[in-house]
Amino acid sequence: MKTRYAESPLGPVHVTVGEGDHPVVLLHQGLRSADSFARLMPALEPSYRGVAIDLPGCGLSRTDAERFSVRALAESVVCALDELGIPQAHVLGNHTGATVAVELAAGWPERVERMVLFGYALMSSGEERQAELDNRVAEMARELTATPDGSHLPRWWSWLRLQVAFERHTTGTVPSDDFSPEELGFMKMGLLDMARAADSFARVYRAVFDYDSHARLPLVEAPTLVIDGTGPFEPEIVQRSADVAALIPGCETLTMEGEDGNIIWWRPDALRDVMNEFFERD
Amino acid sequence: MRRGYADTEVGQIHYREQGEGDPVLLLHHTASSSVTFQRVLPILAERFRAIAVDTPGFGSSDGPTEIPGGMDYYAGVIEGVLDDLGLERARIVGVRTGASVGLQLAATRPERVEKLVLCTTLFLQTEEDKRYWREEFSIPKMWEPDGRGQFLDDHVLDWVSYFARDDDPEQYLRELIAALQAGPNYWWAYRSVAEHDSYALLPEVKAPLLFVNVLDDNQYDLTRRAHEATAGSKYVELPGPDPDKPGWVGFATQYPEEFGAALLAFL
Repeated sequence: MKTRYAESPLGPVHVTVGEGDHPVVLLHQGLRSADSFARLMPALEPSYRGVAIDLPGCGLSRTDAERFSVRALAESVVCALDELGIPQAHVLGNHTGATVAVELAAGWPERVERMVLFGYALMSSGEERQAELDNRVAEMARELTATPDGSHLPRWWSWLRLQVAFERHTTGTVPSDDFSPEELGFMKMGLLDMARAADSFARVYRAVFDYDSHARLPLVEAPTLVIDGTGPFEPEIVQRSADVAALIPGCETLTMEGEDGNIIWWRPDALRDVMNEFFERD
Repeated sequence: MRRGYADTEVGQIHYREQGEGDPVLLLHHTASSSVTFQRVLPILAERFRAIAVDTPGFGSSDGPTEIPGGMDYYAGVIEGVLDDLGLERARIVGVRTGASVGLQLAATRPERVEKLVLCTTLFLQTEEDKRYWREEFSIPKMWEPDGRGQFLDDHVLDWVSYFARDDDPEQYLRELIAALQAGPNYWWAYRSVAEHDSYALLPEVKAPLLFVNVLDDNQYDLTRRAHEATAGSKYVELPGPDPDKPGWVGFATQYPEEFGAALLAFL
């Protein structure tokens, strides 16, 4: 894998590029980075070349912009594709990354061939809803803000352990304190990503909450598959793929039992098979 | 602030840079990254092209796959960075482990080093000191993550709090990120520090040489001794932390204005 930066209006955008033929842009969840695709990218090879982007505000893509839109996040993806000389690619968007993927497809239709969305957050608008989202951001800020006494670290670690516990439940493994290398790798990756997003995650979520999905989803022209998971860690807000699909012309849906956005880490092969089937259909 | 990667023999080396003009390369301590110089870069950028490098195995740089054979491994990679960036010569600023890398580079590749600044050095003179570093710091005893997260409490937090003040959450977060990026093999760099023959190399430095010390740094004595043993070297002491302030540390990048001014005056 090779890494590089592309210039964008939100600052340098960090890109990790795998080795394979057909480019697939990989857009991560909020609070995560391209590192979360470390197990999916090799699974995609050699048919597909993963192009994993640290969205501005995450991973190594630092941004000083105080407020930005999903449109600006999508534009940073376009900048990365330009830098790499990729005119058109398939796209996988995961949660926050799915929102950015939709804007990429709506705003730059010539760049997107086929698109898979996992866990698209379709939020209703309205003041009440916005207030609820503001509260959610404030609550997360309390959980996530780093303080020099280090008290946030055990809290972050507990949250990551909780995700592992959910994962074990769904696969029928009895929880214990013996963590597998994959589980420890997941927690290390998550801890670093949380540290790197600690001072910017609220701006990323703000952008997603402000996004007008109802206006933009109908503009998507690329053949699209919307996946939802029924895993216990998957919030209710991303479990309505039929509602999302209803807004995209010709969109397909798929429900993956027991899965959540972390499927990209735990079962990359299963997701790869779904992507492969959808990308190769025509 | 620009960022990028240099292609070297050992892989991709990550850097961040600011400013135009003659190049100044900044090399960080263990287990930090170029991020430690975040506040120093804009000061140097007033007159120089300041480039802070993630040394191999740290930050976002590729690293060694086994314990490196010594400090020349690190110096060789930095020379590769100069090559890739098309820089014949540069001013070099090294802090702690970074100072050892800078010294190795200046002593063995004098044609590449215009001026040299060594800050709070870990130059070990006696066999006893070297053995102490080997046994205390160059061993795989810390940072191996456990499921319970005990490694965070026991090691990472203590470590980071040495390099960032309690009242400086920004720098704290930067050093924390760098420590997490470095991971459990960070001590490999200390092995090279413990085995480095610094005092034999100091007389080989032909470039103008400045030592920067920080009052109350835990390597204060080592740095002072290295300066006194090096004829013709210049010496600057930063005032260091305010002892009346709780949670202080004596670390140069915590004092970017004073540190930056001392660097500008010499460079």
